[in-house]
Amino acid sequence: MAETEVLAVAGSWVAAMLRSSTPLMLVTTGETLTQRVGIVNLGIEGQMLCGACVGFAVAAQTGSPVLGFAAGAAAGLLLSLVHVALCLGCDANQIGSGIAVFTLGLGFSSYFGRGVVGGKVAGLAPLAASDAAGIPFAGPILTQLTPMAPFAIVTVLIAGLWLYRTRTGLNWRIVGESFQTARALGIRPLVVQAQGILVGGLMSGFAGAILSVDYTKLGPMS
Amino acid sequence: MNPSTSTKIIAVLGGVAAFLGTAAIFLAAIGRPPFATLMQMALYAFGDSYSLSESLVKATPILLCALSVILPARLGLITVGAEGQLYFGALTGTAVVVSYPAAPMIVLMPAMLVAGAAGGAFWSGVAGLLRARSNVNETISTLLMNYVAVLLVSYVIYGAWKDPTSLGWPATIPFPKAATVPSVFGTRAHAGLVVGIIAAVILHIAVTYARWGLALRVLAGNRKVASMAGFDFNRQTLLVMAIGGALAGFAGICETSAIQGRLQAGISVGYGLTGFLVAWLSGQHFLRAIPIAVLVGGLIAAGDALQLYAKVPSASATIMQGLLFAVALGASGLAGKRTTRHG
Repeated sequence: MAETEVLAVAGSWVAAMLRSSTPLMLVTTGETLTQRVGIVNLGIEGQMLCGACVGFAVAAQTGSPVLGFAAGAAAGLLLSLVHVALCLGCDANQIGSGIAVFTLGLGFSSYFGRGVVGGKVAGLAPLAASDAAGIPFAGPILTQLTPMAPFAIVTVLIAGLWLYRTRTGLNWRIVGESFQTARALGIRPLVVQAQGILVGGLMSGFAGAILSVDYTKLGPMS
Repeated sequence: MNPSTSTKIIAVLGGVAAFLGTAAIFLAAIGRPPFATLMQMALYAFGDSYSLSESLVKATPILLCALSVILPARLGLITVGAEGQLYFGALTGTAVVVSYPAAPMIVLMPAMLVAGAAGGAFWSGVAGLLRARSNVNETISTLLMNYVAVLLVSYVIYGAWKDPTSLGWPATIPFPKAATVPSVFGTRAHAGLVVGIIAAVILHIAVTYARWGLALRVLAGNRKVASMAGFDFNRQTLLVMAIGGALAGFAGICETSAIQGRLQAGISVGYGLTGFLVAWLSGQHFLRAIPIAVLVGGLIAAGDALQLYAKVPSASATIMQGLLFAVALGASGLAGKRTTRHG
């Protein structure tokens, strides 16, 4: 095989890989932050479904993918409030509460998703216009990826730096390691845990919206 | 009455009230008269013999899946894999039927059911083995194996086992009469329900009155004490996971044989997940799971009926299940908080 062909195949492969991993990177970062404050949230599947459904509906309605992302993230955040209320407010079991959130998200998205099946969304513009496709290796990556892919990568880096290089990141890790120690240090562990769950909800809803609005460009049923 | 009993009663009553309240708010939000619709749902669930039979049909796999969650929970294990075990049991049971469709009933029926239960036991046993040997978290492994089992079923019904006469519909051949689990009480409810109730009673007796139950309790409470008393955590982990998986796999093959009549996609509408909810609602108690499974089965059957007669999407039943579980968890959590404060 000629060298240019190898480069083209490699470029397409990298592009496809980054495209499908963009939502996963965001949702994984969100859940990692949640687990770092000592909370397991099995409901992220439900939050993603809700984010995908609401994000798609808003993007199809307004024609703006960015508004869709915002609405999807808000939907994920809203659903994760249930986990906050059950785990922190009522001392309920985290695994059980996660499954409850999952069930609610599944129900809400299949109930309200029926209305938007068959809708159309534009998605974001790719990083470069199609005349850049001829550039070896970078061509397929630039023309197939939207700004969401670099955004996700940068988010992972920022989350890592924030967790290990800032004071609040340290506080979050203290809460995750030891609730009692955190309290003794004057950190309010419940507040931090609530923030952790909500950040996870925000990012899973956002990731769901990327999945439906930017990745498949199809309705939530697909 | 001691404070913990009264707290429990308050929690149950408060939970029921909160569920009815949130369900009413949800129904009002989707533009349905809340109280009339709730009454209607109760009628669709248990109003006449047909509704009751549909509710029992739904309750059967839910009960079996709930038992498959409760038994490991007695050892302190949290499994969410009933859905995958159900699918894998359906797959292995169907393998027997597809291979020997003309075998006589006396051979085919037991072979099919045993293969289904063994498949479920194997699928769950893998997670059990991982936990026992390598300390892999069983909640995560069972959760992930759910997806594998569902996709394996899709693989065979779109591929090797697809019925050539089904005009492209992805499903196996219809099960012969010799491989159809018989119905009971002259309704659509099948013999799996009877097996589920018997299994619940046997398991309840076994863990309450037998030495085995003591082993599980001690192991769940304190691993070190248990090992000094000669109880083997790894062996018990494998055992409870396998028995639980067998029950879920049995549910899968019964559902395939008696209700669907062939293996096809969507043999379970989240029965595994619902079974998990029922197990938690029952407080991981085998006998309490029976009425709760029937009630939740009624809720799902009512959701289907609402879709049929009132054009309300059946996903509303899923939402109500989520609401039920959320308020129940909240109520029992608050009750636990109160008891600790008093005690």
